[in-house]
Amino acid sequence: MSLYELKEVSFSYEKEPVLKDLQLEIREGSFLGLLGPNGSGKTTLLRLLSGALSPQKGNVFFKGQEVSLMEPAERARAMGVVPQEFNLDFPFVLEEVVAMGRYPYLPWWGALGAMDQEKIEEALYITGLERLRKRTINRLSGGERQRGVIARALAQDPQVLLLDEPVSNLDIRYQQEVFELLARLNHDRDLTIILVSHDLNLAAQYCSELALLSQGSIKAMGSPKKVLEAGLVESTYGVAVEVAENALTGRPQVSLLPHRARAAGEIENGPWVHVIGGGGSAQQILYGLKRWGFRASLGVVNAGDTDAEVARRLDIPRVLEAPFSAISAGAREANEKYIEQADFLLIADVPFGGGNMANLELALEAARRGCRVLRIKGKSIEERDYTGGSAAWLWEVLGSLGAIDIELEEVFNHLKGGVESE
Amino acid sequence: MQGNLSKSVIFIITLFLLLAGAFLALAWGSVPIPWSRLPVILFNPGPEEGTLQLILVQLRLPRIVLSMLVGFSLGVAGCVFQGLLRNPMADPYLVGISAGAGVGALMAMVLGWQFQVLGLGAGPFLAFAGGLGTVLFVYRLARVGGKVPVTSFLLAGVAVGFLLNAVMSVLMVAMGRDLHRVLYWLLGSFSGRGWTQVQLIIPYFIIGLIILVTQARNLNLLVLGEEAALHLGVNVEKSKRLLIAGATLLTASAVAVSGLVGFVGLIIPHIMRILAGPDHRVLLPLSGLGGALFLLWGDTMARSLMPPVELPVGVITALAGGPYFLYLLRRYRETYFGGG
Repeated sequence: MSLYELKEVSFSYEKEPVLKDLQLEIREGSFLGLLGPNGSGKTTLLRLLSGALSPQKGNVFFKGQEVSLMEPAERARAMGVVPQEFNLDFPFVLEEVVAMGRYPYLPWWGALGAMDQEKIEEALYITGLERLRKRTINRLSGGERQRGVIARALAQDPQVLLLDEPVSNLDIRYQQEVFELLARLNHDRDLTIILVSHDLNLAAQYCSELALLSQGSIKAMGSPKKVLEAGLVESTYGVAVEVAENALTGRPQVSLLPHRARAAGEIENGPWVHVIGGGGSAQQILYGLKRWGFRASLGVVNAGDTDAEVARRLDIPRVLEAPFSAISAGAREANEKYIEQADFLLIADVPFGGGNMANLELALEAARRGCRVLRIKGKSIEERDYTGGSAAWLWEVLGSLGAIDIELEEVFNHLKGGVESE
Repeated sequence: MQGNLSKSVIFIITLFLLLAGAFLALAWGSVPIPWSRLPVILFNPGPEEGTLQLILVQLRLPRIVLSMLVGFSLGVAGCVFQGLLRNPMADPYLVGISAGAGVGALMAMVLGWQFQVLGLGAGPFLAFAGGLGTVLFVYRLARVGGKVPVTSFLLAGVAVGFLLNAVMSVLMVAMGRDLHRVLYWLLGSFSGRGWTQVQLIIPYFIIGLIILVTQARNLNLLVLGEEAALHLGVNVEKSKRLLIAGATLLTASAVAVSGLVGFVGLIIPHIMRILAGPDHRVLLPLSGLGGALFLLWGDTMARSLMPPVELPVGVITALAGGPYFLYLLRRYRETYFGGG
């Protein structure tokens, strides 16, 4: 059964509409996260649900009742609202604040009955705040205070909790504490929970349903997997992201990629760096090159190799060879063309065997031509030489031709320094 | 967080001090009357004690009652404004009542108007009307789409207050030689007040108090902020209107009979909050009792410290209340301010 039903809801604070013809149905017992960029209207939507705002057009129904026509006390018995932040200059103790949740049930003078005491006790118990009941609200930590406000909302004995970024001011431990509490309430008591969040990953981990808002309308709604689709997130927020499945929770996990948006400290039109890697040895190098604004290419690697996959995600040109095959003449030639254009050649901490010796030979030729060669310090060449000594020999010649050995952490500064000194 | 005393004990102590104080204050004054003779003079005066009875019943008693009523009013009104505006620096005069009343009272003095409305002389009447009118104006000014956010109300009040203060300054310049009368009015005084003023203030006192008592619990929730109060079921706009109306009635009528007695409305609610906690169902009446006690003693000292000269009572309240308040602040700093 649906708890909330919104029909063609429009709302504007000034002239510019914040929400446009919004249609939405929220089922009883759902754990719904409202996501969206700043100004997408998610907090406004929450305030319409709580009755703090009334729509200029359309209707917001709560169990068939128009929310804006309900009495404040009637609403307070049905909905518990938790704001983003709770500050109080008046020295109320926690117990008194939680007791305020009973207000909509009490006569005008507000004497608490046995039933009210019970609800207050229960709310304190669920939120684990029993021992802090006599503490002044200002002397609680951020997480305790936020749980206190949730306790107050629970004392209202509501059918739904509405939360506006409940953890945005808390560190991760308290974030987890609050979200675990919400998940428990949703699961054990079938309490409907609707929250606004900026943290896509937290929302994805805990909410059973997400709604993605953009420019005042709902762009997608459904399971986290369906809503947090990379293309959808990218077009909504205007950033490049990668969405992976968390191996443990199975929930989608969103990471930012160094794409379109310019990063701090980035250089413009950086030099071209060709990378020789493979087997994951070049992942961080590729990411770093992209992050700092260098042009990059990779090769030769086998298709399906970890580094090849990373380069694909980062949109870095690469020379591929078929899986588990040695570098062919064609691939070698293609790689040579890249290396000829590159300003730097960067060799990752990669093992050399019969399959990829060609890469090392190309590096040697490049060094002879005067191309600057950098080698990431890692295992000694003897340890990663699977050619019976020929790789080590080439490595030594490469060194004598002026190849520089450098720590991974140093390499980007070195490259940037080279740019600046020129 | 409250201090060590339970709320009812604080209540009883304050009430006792008030009654005992009233009795002592009767004996005190430029004509000393021994305490032991008080009951006799009051109820069964001897042949030479007729004048003394007159002094007690017609001069001292009404002044004592009036100072208590005014103190009660200002204490309660200050407590309401501090809660409503969520601002511990608020006092009953913050939103322009004082400036409005001041302009009214000064106009009557400058123009030398003499008339009677509802038994009020020109000065008190214009002060009362000026105070009420200003708050009404500020309330309308702060209105946005059927709502009056407290922040706009506060800002509009302060702005209008500044404007009217400027008008007051112009009127003071116009007063010329009679400036000391204005000064006494501005500092607040019960000099020469009698039963007439008591009768005047009582209806507003009762109406205002009844309104506020019904809103005490709403005020507890309004200190959380308007939206939070709404979400807990308070009819916010209605409650705000009633609170402003009640506190304004109390303040304007107090100002009309005694001028601008300062400090009571700011400090007493704080003292009581430190002692008894922030629950307005307890705090409102306690602030009233505290204010009454404070002004009773203030006025008694004002008229007996430097006879025959009377000090403005506002001077006494500031001199006596300031240090005590500072002491309480230091002592309860931890619990009262919470230390972020």
